[in-house]
Amino acid sequence: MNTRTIPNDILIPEIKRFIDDGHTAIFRVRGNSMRLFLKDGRDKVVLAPCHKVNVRDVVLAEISPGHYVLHRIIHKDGKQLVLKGDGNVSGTEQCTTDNIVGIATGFIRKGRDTIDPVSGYKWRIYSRLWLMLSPVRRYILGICRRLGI
Amino acid sequence: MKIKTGFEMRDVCGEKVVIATGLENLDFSKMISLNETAAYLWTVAEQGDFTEARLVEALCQEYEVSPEQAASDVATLVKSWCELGLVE
Repeated sequence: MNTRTIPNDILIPEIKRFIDDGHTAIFRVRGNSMRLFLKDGRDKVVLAPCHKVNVRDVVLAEISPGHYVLHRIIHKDGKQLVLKGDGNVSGTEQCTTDNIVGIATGFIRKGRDTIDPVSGYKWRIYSRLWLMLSPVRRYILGICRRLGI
Repeated sequence: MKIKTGFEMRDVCGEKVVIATGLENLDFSKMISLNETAAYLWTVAEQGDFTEARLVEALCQEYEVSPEQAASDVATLVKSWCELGLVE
């Protein structure tokens, strides 16, 4: 079976079209901006149509024309959102709820077939803990990178 | 042989891919991509019941290929379709 990488500017509009039709889509994550939980090229995301978002949700959003990120909402004020990747120590993105392509409802990690739902205890505990550890995130990420986790 | 109900070829990301229609969820990390010839043979196959001989004939009509080569290519393709569970 061959693996082909499709550029984001082609893939994401396609995913968006599918999600706008009310379906869910699974795709592989790229980049390490959602470490520790999601690893580049290894893990997949289940994305669903987004009706309502809260802080701590992970969304795929168009932060500037043609530029998409799958990041976590860290602040919400009406329609205004601030996003930040779990694996980023600094740097946030601003967008509005209208820029959201879809919301992550689960993750498929480490080559498994099963989905870790965002409603599950694993994700909920990880999310709370990770946001709490925000001030020391830099060190944790550094240590994990050195240990190859 | 025929293509199982529920599978159809679609253009996704500029590629001809086979997906299960009516599916609630589409896995973009696992799609069956068809090259140009396979996509052509799919359109022949999806017209109803087909045999390998029918596909070989169609392939020879559309492309400049020897019957032997066509037969071998079709056999390989149909075998992979069977393995993927696309035909019955």
